[in-house]
Amino acid sequence: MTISHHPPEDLLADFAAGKLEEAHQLVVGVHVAGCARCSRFVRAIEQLAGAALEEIEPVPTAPDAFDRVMSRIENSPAARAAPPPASVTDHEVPPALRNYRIGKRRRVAPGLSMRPIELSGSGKARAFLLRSAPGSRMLEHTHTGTELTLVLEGSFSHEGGRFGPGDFDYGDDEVEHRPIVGDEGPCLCLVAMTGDLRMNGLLGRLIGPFVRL
Amino acid sequence: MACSSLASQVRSERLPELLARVSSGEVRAFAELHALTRARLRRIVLAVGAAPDDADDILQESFLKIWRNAARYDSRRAPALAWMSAIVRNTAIDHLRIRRQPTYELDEALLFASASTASPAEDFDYASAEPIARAVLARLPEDRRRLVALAYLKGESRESLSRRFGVPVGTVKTWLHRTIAAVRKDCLAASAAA
Repeated sequence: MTISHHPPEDLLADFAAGKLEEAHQLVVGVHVAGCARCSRFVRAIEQLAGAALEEIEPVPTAPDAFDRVMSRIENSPAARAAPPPASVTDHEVPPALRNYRIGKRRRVAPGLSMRPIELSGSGKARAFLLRSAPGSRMLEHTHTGTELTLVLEGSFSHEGGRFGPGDFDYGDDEVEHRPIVGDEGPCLCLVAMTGDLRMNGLLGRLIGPFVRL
Repeated sequence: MACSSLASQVRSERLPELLARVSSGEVRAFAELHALTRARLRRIVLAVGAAPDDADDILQESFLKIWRNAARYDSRRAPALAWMSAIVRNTAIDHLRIRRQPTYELDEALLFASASTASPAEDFDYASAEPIARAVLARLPEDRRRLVALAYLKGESRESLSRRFGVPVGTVKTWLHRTIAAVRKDCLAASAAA
């Protein structure tokens, strides 16, 4: 799998520094987990930043650090987690998201459906799985906020290029997209979105100027 | 530098085996795992912006989760250190954000990696991140190093940094951008050479 579209460096640095809100952290995190180049970059930033702080404020690690870990383990009430079940009942959910609670599929438009991903609720952005039928063309739209998209299966193309599994796309209010889904099969994407889509054109006015996914 | 990378690689290759033994409850393997990885993991906690005094607490909690979830780690799907790093990063972020509900762990997100990315070569890449980081850091003048630490670790704003260092905000941004670019360049060069 060749990934050609990556998150910008500023976003990766913010991810490494834990500054992204949860929905963005999820989408960037799943890309990083599957992308050797971005993983390497995030790891380097983490080690760089950590080493820089160690030099300025050195705090020696306690010699009995391991003993403290073990005593914490012994004193904590919960049992050890069992291995995950061999079969997963919800085949639509990609492995990356198996620990998340994912809502029921909702039809948004012809050929377009979404499933919300339950987050802890502290951020402004929402995360969801978006499924588009092959060959479908999204209506021309811009964003009122920002949108991060990670392709999980299938592909789509727009002015910025072709986006296949592992590719990362970023849209904001300066971008005007007309994505077309590839013919090879349905396109499944992990999306984080703040704000709403603003539909342009006549059809947009018929559906309603703002679509909340 | 080459010798320490090789040593790091050898140590990294031990991790999946150690995790397998930890998953069956072996304390000795867990002690070795802790000793091999705690310095690197501690740097992640600091990088996320935790105060040094909280770092040990966060690390303990992370290792508790690693102990509990070792059975979930699948070496075919992700390098061991990446799996542990995700747990540490999320534990540190949770600690800072003081959520009311726990974050669902992103460690499972590493299952997304296909078998081709979880090759032994991938382990070597992670091990080589540390010398890259150190090399970039060593080349920075001392005030630049402080700047990186303060910006990324303390979350200090560009404006506040500009006042503290007596340079325009644009200069602060350029310095940070150049530092990131240098790290990225070295990472790509390392991957091309590998």
